[in-house]
Amino acid sequence: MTKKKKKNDEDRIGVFICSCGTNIGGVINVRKLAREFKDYPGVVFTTSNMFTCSKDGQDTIAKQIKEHNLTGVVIGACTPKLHEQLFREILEENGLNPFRLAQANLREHDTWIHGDDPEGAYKVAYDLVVAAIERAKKLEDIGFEEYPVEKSVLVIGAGIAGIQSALDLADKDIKVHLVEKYTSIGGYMARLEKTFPTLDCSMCILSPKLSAIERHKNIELLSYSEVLEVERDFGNFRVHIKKHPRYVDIEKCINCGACERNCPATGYDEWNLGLEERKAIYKPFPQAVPGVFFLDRESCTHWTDGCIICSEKCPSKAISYDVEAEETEITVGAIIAATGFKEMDIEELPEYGGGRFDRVLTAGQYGRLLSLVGPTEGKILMPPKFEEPPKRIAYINCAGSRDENRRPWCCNFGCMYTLRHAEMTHRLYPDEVEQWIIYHELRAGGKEYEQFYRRVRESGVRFVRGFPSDMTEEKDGSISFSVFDQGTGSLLRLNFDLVVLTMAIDPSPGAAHLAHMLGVDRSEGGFMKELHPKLEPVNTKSKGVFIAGTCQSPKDIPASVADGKAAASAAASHVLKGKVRVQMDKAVVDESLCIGCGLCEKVCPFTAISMVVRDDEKERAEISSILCTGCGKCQVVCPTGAIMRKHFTTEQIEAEILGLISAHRRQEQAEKTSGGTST
Amino acid sequence: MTETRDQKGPPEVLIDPIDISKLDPGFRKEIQSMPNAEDLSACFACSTCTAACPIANIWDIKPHQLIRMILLGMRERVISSKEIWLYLTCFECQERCPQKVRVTDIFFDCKNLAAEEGRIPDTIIALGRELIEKGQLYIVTADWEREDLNLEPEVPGLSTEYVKKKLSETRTGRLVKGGD
Repeated sequence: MTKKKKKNDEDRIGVFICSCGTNIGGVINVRKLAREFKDYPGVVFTTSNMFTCSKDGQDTIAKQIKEHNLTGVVIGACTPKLHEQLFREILEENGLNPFRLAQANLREHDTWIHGDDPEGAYKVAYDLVVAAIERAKKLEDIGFEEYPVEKSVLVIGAGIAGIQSALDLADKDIKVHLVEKYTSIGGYMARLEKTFPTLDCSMCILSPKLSAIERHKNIELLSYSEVLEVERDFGNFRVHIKKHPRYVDIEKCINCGACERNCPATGYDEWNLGLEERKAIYKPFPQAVPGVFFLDRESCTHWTDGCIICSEKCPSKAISYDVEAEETEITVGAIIAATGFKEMDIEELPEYGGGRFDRVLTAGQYGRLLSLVGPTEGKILMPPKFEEPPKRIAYINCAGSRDENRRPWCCNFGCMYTLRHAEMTHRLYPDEVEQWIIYHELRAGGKEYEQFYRRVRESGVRFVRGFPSDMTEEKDGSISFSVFDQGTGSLLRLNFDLVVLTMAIDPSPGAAHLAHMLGVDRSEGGFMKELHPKLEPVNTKSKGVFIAGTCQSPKDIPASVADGKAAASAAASHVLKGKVRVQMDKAVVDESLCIGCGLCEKVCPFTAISMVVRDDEKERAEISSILCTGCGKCQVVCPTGAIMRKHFTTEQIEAEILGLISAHRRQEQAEKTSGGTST
Repeated sequence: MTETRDQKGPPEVLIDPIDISKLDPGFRKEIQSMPNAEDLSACFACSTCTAACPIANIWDIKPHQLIRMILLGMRERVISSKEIWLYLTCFECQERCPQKVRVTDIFFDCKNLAAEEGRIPDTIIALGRELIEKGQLYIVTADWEREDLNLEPEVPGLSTEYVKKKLSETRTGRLVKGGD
């Protein structure tokens, strides 16, 4: 060690060993352990406690900090993940910098795993506490920095989760920018005819919210728009948004529909999930918000053949072809991503006839057939001609889901979605249509869902437990497949006029790119990753970025709404303070040592480091403390030692390791001398 | 999942599956219209009935399978099964069903349906004949049975004639005579 060591008499360390009931105390003698440090260099006070986290334990720490004017506190207890914050607050309240705490994890790192070897566990505990004492001697005061935060939030995605977030935030007097990629808002819920388990009309409960979005003074709706770029600006985000041209003036359009009636061009109808074609100029559904028509450049022939029929027919001269995309930049204090989901592509399931057999539909498409404003006006008719109703329908659950070769996760709402389709079909055609649900496990885990499941069983729907095999298309277009029914213990060969696949669920196509821009991790399947699956479900590792709805994992409407509200609450508490407080236990650059090699910039997973040209015209690293999470990667790669991760400096880590080694040697030595006498 | 190829008609398999055309779609309703079978459809295939049954091990078709067969319309297999005549009437299945399906009562309904079609095992017919001929099921066969208990040899006031007469007028009588 060449570095200057602090003199021992300067250090006044207090050691507090926790018994944690029997968690620690049941394995090792905590009183004996505490007494070991009585004469340890630098230690002025040592004690053991039944529960250090209790009021009693807290008071002891507070009292000793003042009495002994402690310079460092060592707590041998559980993992710092649980009570470190509490202990830090006690230090701060008693005039000691909160970062003067060193916690030895005696429970998770020792007694829980070495409970079968109390002697060995005691030795490990001694080592860990010594290491913490040595670390405590090297700890420094660390402060905070504060940055201003705009009182505004960007919500990306205007499905039910995003809509709910936007409304809740707007009601708190927070400015909301709501960006939606599609031409109208409402998301998947707007496609549904009815919602389970109550079978109430989906649009009836959704459209008041759509209107509220349009009318709320605090909400700026950016439909048919995309987020291009997100930049951090200390506490805020600078966001570049592209507004695609609708070619129809929202102010002038009077919704007469003359353009659509006369339009000669057609395109893929994404609103009806490809069940039919739509005109190039159209309005996806009657209650659409914004409630005006829009021209799809992809399918329009104006730019290829010079067609101008719609603009000629328009009585209010609302259509104009020479409109360019607009780019705008906004500054917001927080972002909520609520980008939703899509069904897995049916062509990924050729064994179920996906993309091969006409009479195999996705559940989403079937839902459009049930819609009164859908392609068949609510009648169930067989594809491809949509003329005849089917006599026998099979719903196949978990199509592509819970399949290690496809999508291993559960789509969460598929079971209920299928039950809803069966019940709605039963009500439309009580005796004419025989319905079979081919399922494996039926998951009805929501409020009143089980009752709904029973109601569907009582409607006479046939349930077969097992998954189908050998799907074939008969000459008349009907579909046959074999399934082994676990209920009766028999192999069945069934034949249906229509087969509906309850498809696996993927995140929206743009979710990956957006997550990358926002600095949000993704989990299995590409769904955006929450900070903690139970306790921080709408927060992300990126401060100020929140997630809501199915972009996080597949979920149904009640859960998406709850998510939307939760994310709004989290975002509100982030922006309403007007500032963000950042603990400075982050990486810092020693400019005199930095050679501007840029290695740190390359390894930083949080894009917190950028190379900036300084006054002497040389590039050096600059670290944004708001983005830095203190992971320490840059400290490891820095070839000159210019980067120091505060609170985990090389000096502190070395002291800790040396403490471990010396404690271990001391115990070995003691064993050798006493070993001769005891054996 | 088997390999996908564009094939027409059912695949070649070593065991014959039950074709959908062999299922009777009205069977479920037929049973459901009989006494105590209203809740038949509530079955969610948990097989508690089979787990509760003290003799299910000797059944070829287990209690839960019978219920599922009724729901899918396997009329012939249910009505012709020996199991509907084998059950103990202990009501364990019915007591334990979490969906309140009256399993035992439904098996009674199945028996009645089978009887209406004259499909009764010979042993059951023999029991009926015994009843009609003797007017009672358990007959005192030896004098000492009652003497040991200090009772007079004949059961006082026992008259089986009325039972015999009435019973022979019922379906049991017709079945024993080979009619119905």
